[in-house]
Amino acid sequence: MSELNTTREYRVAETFVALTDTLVTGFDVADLFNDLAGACVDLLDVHAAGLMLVDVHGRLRVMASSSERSRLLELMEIQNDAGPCLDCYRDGTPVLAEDLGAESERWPAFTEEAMRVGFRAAYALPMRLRSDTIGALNLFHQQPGEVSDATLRLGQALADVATIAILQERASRSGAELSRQLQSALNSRVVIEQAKGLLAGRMELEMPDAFDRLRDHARGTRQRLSDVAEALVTGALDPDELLPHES
Amino acid sequence: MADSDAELSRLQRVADACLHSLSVTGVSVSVTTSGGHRIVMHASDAIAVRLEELQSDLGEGPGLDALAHRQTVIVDDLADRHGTSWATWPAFTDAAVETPARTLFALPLLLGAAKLGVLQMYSERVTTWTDEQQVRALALSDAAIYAALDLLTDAIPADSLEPAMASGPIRTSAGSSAGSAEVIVPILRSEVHQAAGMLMSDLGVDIVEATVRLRGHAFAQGRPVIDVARDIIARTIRLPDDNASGPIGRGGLS
Repeated sequence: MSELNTTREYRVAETFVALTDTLVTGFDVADLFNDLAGACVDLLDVHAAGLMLVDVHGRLRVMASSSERSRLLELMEIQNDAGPCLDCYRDGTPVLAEDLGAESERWPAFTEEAMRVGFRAAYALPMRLRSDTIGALNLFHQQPGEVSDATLRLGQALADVATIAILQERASRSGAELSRQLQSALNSRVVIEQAKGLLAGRMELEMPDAFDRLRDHARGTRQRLSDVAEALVTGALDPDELLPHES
Repeated sequence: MADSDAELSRLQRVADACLHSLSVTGVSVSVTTSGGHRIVMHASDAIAVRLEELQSDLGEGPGLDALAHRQTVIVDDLADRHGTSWATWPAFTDAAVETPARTLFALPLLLGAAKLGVLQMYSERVTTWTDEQQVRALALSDAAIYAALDLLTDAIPADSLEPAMASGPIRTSAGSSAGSAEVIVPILRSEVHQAAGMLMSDLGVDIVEATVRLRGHAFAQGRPVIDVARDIIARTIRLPDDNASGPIGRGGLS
């Protein structure tokens, strides 16, 4: 793909307008990251996308994913041993594995799992502002192949939006404030995982469906995703009160 | 809790790291049960205990607010009558100022939606944390969450602690620069939180107890927590619905 076509240009513009709107009007980090992961799949011609943030112990943890399939979450998490996201985070530069078939020595466990799940290419773009690297955007493709500069630039722009979202609320420029932001964002992701499990158990759903119910209810009632998740887990919201699923 | 020595020492290690690296005189960790009781799980000295008790007795104080608002609360100087402490918690401050404590730090221990407890510290001298110390305090509060969870998990054999962390233990640098004991913090993967959520509805317990039961089951079976979590999600195993063994069940620990 050499040029962005008109339809895609329009969607790109639309996406950034929506993201910018969210950023200026106050937002839920968990919600925004989820939208970003979805936008990556929509705009970057990849099959899956995930956003990882570094925690207070220096480990990369999943913040959002375009799919709630457990194996995708796991594929991102296992990169704490070795993987493109870890390299990207450590060096603060993009890591492009255009053919995972050739990377089994570099990242043995990651490559094996990625290929088992059906991915043949993986890219990682840093979430970076000056000297701070706070995470990475992970992109997966089912076919090996080169990724265009235009796509990479767009992907980096989406990663930058995620970075700004985290840094925006910093009251000061201190490292402690940044750590608190990251810890709080990651904890809101834990709440979502807990709520997914609760719904899956209560309604006999698979995890991706449980997440959809959660998000549908948040959107339908104009609430923050993480607030709905928290209300469910603390018992303030009965799962039976969730809006019916529109299929 | 017959076998709690091993877990106690883990909480002890976190507390020691606080004392070594955060310029504080004393430290305590308290956990709030589903019944609303506060249990002091660790206190380094009598003053730390006193500062916990005052808040439980009076129903106000920085630790309770840290948990309620999910954020760190710092009292710069208890003796400063113009400080926020007197205006915010008059009864607590009036009593606390009688102790040698001057600066108080309270960090919430959050496990997703759960307000698990508080890590509290005091200093006899007016103390301000550097940026680096603030980051270290956050890392140690995170370590305290897992140490407290272990303490709540009844009867963990000491030799099962390592396999339980097989999903990727790391050593936080939290205490290392001061030469104190390193604190190992397990990674709780996404599926562990999902499985705990599923157990809530299966067992009719809250999220803390569900997490504790999940870990307890894994420890008892000598299996990694992540493996048990996957079995629960795949619905290939169910944990026994046994309220009597719940370590923090309704009224179980108070």
